[in-house]
Amino acid sequence: MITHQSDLILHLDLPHNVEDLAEVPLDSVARQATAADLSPSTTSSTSSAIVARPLVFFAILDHFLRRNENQDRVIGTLLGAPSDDNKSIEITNCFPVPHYETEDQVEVDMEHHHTMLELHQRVNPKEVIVGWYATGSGLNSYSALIQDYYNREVGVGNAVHLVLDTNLTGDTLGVRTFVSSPVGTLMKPENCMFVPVPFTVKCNETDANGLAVVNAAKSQPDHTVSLLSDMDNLEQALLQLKAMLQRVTEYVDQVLANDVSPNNLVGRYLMDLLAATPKIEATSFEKMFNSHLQDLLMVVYLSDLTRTQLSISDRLQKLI
Amino acid sequence: MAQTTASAVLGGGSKSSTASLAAALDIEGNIPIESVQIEALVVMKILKHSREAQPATVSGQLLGLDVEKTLEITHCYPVPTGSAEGADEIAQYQVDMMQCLREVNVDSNAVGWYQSAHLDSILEPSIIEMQYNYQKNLKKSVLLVYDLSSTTRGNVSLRAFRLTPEFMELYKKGVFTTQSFTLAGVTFDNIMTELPVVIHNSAVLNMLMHELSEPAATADPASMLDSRRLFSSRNTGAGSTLVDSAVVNPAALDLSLNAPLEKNLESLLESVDKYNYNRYQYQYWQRGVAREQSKIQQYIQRRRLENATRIAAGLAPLPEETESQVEAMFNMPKEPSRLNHILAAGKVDNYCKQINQFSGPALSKIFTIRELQQ
Repeated sequence: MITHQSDLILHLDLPHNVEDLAEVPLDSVARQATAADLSPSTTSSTSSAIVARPLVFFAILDHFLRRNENQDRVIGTLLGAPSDDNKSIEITNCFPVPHYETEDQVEVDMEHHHTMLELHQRVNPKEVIVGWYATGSGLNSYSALIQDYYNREVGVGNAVHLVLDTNLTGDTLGVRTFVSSPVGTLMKPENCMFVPVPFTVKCNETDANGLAVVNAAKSQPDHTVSLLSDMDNLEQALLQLKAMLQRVTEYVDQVLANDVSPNNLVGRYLMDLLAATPKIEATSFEKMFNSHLQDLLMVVYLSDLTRTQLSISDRLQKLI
Repeated sequence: MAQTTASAVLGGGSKSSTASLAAALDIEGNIPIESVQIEALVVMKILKHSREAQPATVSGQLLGLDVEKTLEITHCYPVPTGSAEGADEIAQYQVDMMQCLREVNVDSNAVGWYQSAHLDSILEPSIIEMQYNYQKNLKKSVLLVYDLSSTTRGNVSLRAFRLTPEFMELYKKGVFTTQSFTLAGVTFDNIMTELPVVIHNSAVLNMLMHELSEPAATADPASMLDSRRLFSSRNTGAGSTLVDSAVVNPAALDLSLNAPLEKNLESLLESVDKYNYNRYQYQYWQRGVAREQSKIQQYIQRRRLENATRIAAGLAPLPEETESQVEAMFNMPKEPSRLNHILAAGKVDNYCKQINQFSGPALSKIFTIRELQQ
């Protein structure tokens, strides 16, 4: 348990200024990052880029919902790993850390932090601390102190600070990520500047599947959805594919009719797509089609037969 | 600021309702659960844990509350699976984890466990035993099974199971003879019951999902290019992927029909082998019984003949023995446990169902391709 007593905070007039200074000129950059945060980022990556898994946001929001009464913001530890080429940091997991903020001091439950870290690493030893998260609209005077602590925890490199805007500034759940760099002539923990860094959300295949399911629940009035069977899933995918094909056809038709000015990039993509489609002779296709169909029907027939035998044997068993 | 108060109200609301429900729960703890509601967070956590450990299977604990007939699963945590971990260590891990989670206001109430599996192969003695222990201690606990192979089909398959009351009774007695199975009315298809599963999003999470899908939804300036890039990025896993309902999950259209089918059939064969093995064991036992029985008959016959000759010779007859006494003289082989047999049968049935389920989409895919080719 580390406690920053008020005497430490007495020095805070300096970092306050520093932060203000840091925020004002960088605000435009930060805004830019907010706008680009959830879409493919085009900002030049001056410092290491940050990649986050959707799970992290799910967990942060869950933690935010479960905060104590009269608590404005929650913080927690981000776990992850730097990418192989050291160019980006991937945030894969996180866990909440209880903390208490008052006017003149901040208390972070470090015992809890260490226990949780140990527990997490028993399941996945590859995940290490990469930084910390906070909810709320931005940085405040304690951010620097906590950042300093996490900088020491991370060891090599710089701790990442992720802010999820739960106050909905600008009606969005903005996400901002920062790394810190020391500022000022005196090496004090409070003296630091938060530098915004580009940030993207990345899914792997499994995440994407999970998100698709969760996504289906978003437009339901009661926020619930039941899972789709494979058949329904296929139907939806086919419908979507059809819609996409239609959109492409429409666009091509429009271009051909000179209604829309052609876009070279789109054309190139379409060319690539056509080239990627394998050309199969009609006869060999027919052969493939038939053999696949036969295989499948045979297997289905046999499996049905097996089931029938099973239930017969079950009935016979009862007779004994 | 308005949102903060709104979510505060929301949080408060759920807290007070849980309090009243917890009270209701104590009074009537016997309402059967009819459905399972999973928070999106839990889904994502299970997916992550399962994926990272592939191809090994993993398990973890589910936390939540039961609200009348619905079991709400609001949190979960993975349980380490290593050969180095002893049972004591895992127990200690669970205690520590529960304590930590309670400190951050998570519903620290165990409601079951999750298990990742290939092709829903959950009818294993170890899993049955685990679920039995859960259900014995926590009446309403469920087993949530995540099918690892569903990912390749571009879907998420999470199914909730409970042991049926009949099977619970039977397992409690620990007698697995043909007779006991018949008396309890347990067959291979009513060991487990499946409960319907729904996914639930919290209000704030819903907002996030809208946020994530919004930029991609305004696709018209960049035309179809935008959504196509997302499409490809999802395929390769590179770049940023947003959730866009207009984007097809390519895995759902995957045409490789043979690989999953092959795997399914392999498992089917394996379980058929197991089934046969159990059947042979049973037959061996039956033959043993028949042999002993004929020996007993011979013995009785001999005794009768002897008695008849003795009576004819004017001697006192030897005392007739009761059946149990006779049986005690011979060693009747014990009936092998029928549990494995039933489980093997259940597995065979399960795989057959899986194949049938798989074949539906596969057939449609084949026909779609034919149409496309023409």
